[in-house]
Amino acid sequence: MTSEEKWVQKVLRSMVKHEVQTALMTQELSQKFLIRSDTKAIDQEIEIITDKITKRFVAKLKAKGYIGTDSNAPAKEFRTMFLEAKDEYFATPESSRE
Amino acid sequence: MDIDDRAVGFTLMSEGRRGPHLWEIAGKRGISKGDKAKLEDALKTGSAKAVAAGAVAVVAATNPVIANLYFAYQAAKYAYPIAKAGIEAKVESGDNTKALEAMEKKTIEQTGKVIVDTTVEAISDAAVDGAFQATGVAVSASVKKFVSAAISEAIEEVIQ
Repeated sequence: MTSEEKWVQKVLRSMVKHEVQTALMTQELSQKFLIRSDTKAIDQEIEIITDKITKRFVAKLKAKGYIGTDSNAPAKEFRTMFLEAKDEYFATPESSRE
Repeated sequence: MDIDDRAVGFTLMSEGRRGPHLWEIAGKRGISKGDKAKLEDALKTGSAKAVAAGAVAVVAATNPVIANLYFAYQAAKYAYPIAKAGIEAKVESGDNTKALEAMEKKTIEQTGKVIVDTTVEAISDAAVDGAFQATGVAVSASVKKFVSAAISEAIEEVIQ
């Protein structure tokens, strides 16, 4: 059975991907996270980064009780949690990026 | 020189590529005066690294994608009981048609709306309309369509 957490992850994934792609348009992040010589590898890496950020973000929502309950995250808190999930991923050393 | 012209000059020089326009970085709704001033300063005085970091901050502060993501989150929560009904029917019967019928029934129960076709798209459109009315989050028709497509894809994934 798909849990509400997994369900929300699936729905949010495509929008998170858009945000990841936008962030990777910057020189600093694209050089750090993408291998320029292989287009296929870039697409795969974007998918992997999207999955990891979405998972982190939804886990944060769940930890605060905003998933699996009737409570909805307030807009400001939601925004903060998303930016934290994204920033944490991009700032984390490769060895501990799971 | 206008800010947009300078933003064009924000290039990925090592790749020989032209960089994005400011509106591509910050989103079509534009940016606040404060963020614009910060970006202007970074573009005037900063190294490529500083400009890149400034662009990331502006994206984080202003990109409307986050507002759209918030609506998607609310729509996902609203649509979960509908998806759950479909998943349960699928687990019980192993039949996709029965899963769709269960979701249709739950959608009607939850939204109070009649669904013309028993299709994943019709169910997700109705769920998104229901979420839109229930949450009062202001989003455009195109965002609703985008979220509906994300819900359709998720439904298809979970009832496979």
